[in-house]
Amino acid sequence: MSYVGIILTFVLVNNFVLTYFLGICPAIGASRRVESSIGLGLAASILMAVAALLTWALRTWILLPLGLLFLQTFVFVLSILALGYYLERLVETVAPALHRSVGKYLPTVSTNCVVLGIALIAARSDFGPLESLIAGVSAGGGFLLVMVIVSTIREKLETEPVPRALRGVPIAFITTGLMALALLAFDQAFLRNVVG
Amino acid sequence: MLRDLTRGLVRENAVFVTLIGLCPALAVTTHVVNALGLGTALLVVLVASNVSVSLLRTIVAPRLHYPAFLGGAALFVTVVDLAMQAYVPELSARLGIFVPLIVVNCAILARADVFARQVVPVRAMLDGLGFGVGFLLSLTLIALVREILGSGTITLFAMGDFDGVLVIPRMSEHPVQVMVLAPGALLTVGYLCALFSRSRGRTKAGASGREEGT
Repeated sequence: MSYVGIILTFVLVNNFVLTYFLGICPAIGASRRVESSIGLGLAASILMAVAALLTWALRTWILLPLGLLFLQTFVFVLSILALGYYLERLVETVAPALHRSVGKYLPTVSTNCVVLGIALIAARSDFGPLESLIAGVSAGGGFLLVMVIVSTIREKLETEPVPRALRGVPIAFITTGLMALALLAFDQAFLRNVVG
Repeated sequence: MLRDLTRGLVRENAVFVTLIGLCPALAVTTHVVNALGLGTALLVVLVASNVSVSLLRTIVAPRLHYPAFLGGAALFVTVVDLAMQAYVPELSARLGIFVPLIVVNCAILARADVFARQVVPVRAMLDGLGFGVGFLLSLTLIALVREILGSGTITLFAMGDFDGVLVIPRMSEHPVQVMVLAPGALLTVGYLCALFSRSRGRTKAGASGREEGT
């Protein structure tokens, strides 16, 4: 797949939140404030990009030569957890201001399914290093996009009259569902028309 | 003790009430058989992980709890994943990355963190069993709604002459296709959540004894 194809696939066509439902918990549960969703989304994007590259390296240079591919899930989970921890430390010492807005979310995100999700998808699609990196960045971008839209809508919804049973989570689901309906316009046919 | 078992079934149902572990609830519920398969896989991993967390709670230093719990869960998931690839390869292929993703399912970590690391193994096991079964039932319910409306069929396991697919007359001719697509999942869960919270509210008020959300 071409690089443009990968970007379009992960941002729009197979958006992580709206088609794979990865990262739906933070999108539904935590996204009441736009500011914190941007922080969380950015942290996820950074971690996903680095994790995609790291897990590619682990898979190609360690797991495959040793024939330990069945331990993939185990190795990926623990390396992503460690990566989240050390990246947070790094951001904290190098850029304290960035740590307050984005970096502090890194450990939280490292146990989220978006990161392991992109690592597994990149591994299953046999992506190379650059493809993995681009897929990580784009999937993170798609996640950020949905987080920001959902939290903006929910901020507006707080002042709207909503039937009692639908208040809070149910209406958030239905809103996201309607958004996903709109995004159905970006399907495989769209992808073929754009990248051929 | 009994409360440990029933907690996850309805009162703190992972999918509809505490909203944890949603990704699989939405992604795989296009067919009933997928829901049953993934629900069972999660049930097994949750019970195993809860018990191991409870056993490890005094041995492992508190600051190493997360890596230890995740590592344990990853091992159980690997076992379940390999077993599924061997015995039900078709189902395993359909569930794809969602079986390995059970490791980071919030339900596993949440139960380990909130409950299992504070109690004896037996209680942790009952808790895992309750949440697992609650999860399995919710997943099946969502899948039933989506598959019946979306394709007019109920797909189960193939056994003998039975090919595993129940076709609902009428419904299968003009299904509401959007229900099996991604947006249908979000809409279904949204409305089921509303039903669940409505009937729970009613139970709390003591108006009627109805507890299920359907």
